[in-house]
Amino acid sequence: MTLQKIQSIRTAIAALQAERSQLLTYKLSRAEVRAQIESRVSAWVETAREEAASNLRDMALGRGAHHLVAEVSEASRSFAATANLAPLLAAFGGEKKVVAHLLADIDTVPEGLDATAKAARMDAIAAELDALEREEEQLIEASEAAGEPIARRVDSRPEIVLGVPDVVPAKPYVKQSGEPREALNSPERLVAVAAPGVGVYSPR
Amino acid sequence: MIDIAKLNRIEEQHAELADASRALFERYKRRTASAKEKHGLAVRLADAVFQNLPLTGLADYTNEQLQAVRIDILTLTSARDDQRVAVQLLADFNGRQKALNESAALLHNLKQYANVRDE
Repeated sequence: MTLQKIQSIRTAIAALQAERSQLLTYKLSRAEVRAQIESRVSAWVETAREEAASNLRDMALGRGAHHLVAEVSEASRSFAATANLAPLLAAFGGEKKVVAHLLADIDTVPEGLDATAKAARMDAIAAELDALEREEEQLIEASEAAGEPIARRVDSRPEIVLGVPDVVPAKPYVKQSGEPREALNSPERLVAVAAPGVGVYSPR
Repeated sequence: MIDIAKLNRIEEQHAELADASRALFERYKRRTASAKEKHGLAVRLADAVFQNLPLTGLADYTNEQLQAVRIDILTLTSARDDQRVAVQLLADFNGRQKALNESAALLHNLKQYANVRDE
């Protein structure tokens, strides 16, 4: 019964870990990718329009104009030279058509979450994982106490496995009238004093 | 605050797991050696028995000759059974090695965490 319960907890943990991993892997949501594409295409169209206007003014001024010339980046050790045709294609193809083409396979991008929602979901996942992993550890301890040890997950978090509940702070000591001084060193008060070396792990 | 007693307990559990794994491998080695020894014995016995069995004159086979054949078959059967057990032991051992490796990795993480917290 305990084993089944632990298995179901582990399934839930694995699902949350996978979700968190996907959230971390994909930096942008589908909506954010879409918005960026629309914004870029719009900027390309604007760039092409400005280039064309600039060329027209150059012609009027009797200077040489460079219509329909794509900007070419310089080759470097790591990158080959590339011609930036995006503004020209966006201008000729039309903004909507180019956006539609670039977003044709947008469904292959996971729906994802925007930055705010992602941060909130990450917090929620962390809280859910905390609760599940603590419950798992409690069940493992109970099973161990019952003489049926269950192996821990290899990726069990040390802070969960080795964590202990926060020590409840002791109430401030108030000396009662007529109380002898020895009471200050009573065993009840000394029990809260940690022994030297407590908290230090040393291999045996 | 780190639960040192628990860490020690987990380390002990890991040591027990390692001991059990080693014991399993020793059993596998003993069974394999036993199977090999019995097989060799059976082969030698078969050579001796069948060289002494005449191809003709079945009626002349002595009870001792037939008993020797029986013993040879029993030895060979036992060798085969030993080998089957050895194969199963090896499979169990390999299964345990995975658990042992995971336990070692977890223990390593726990110790590192304890030491970092200590610093």
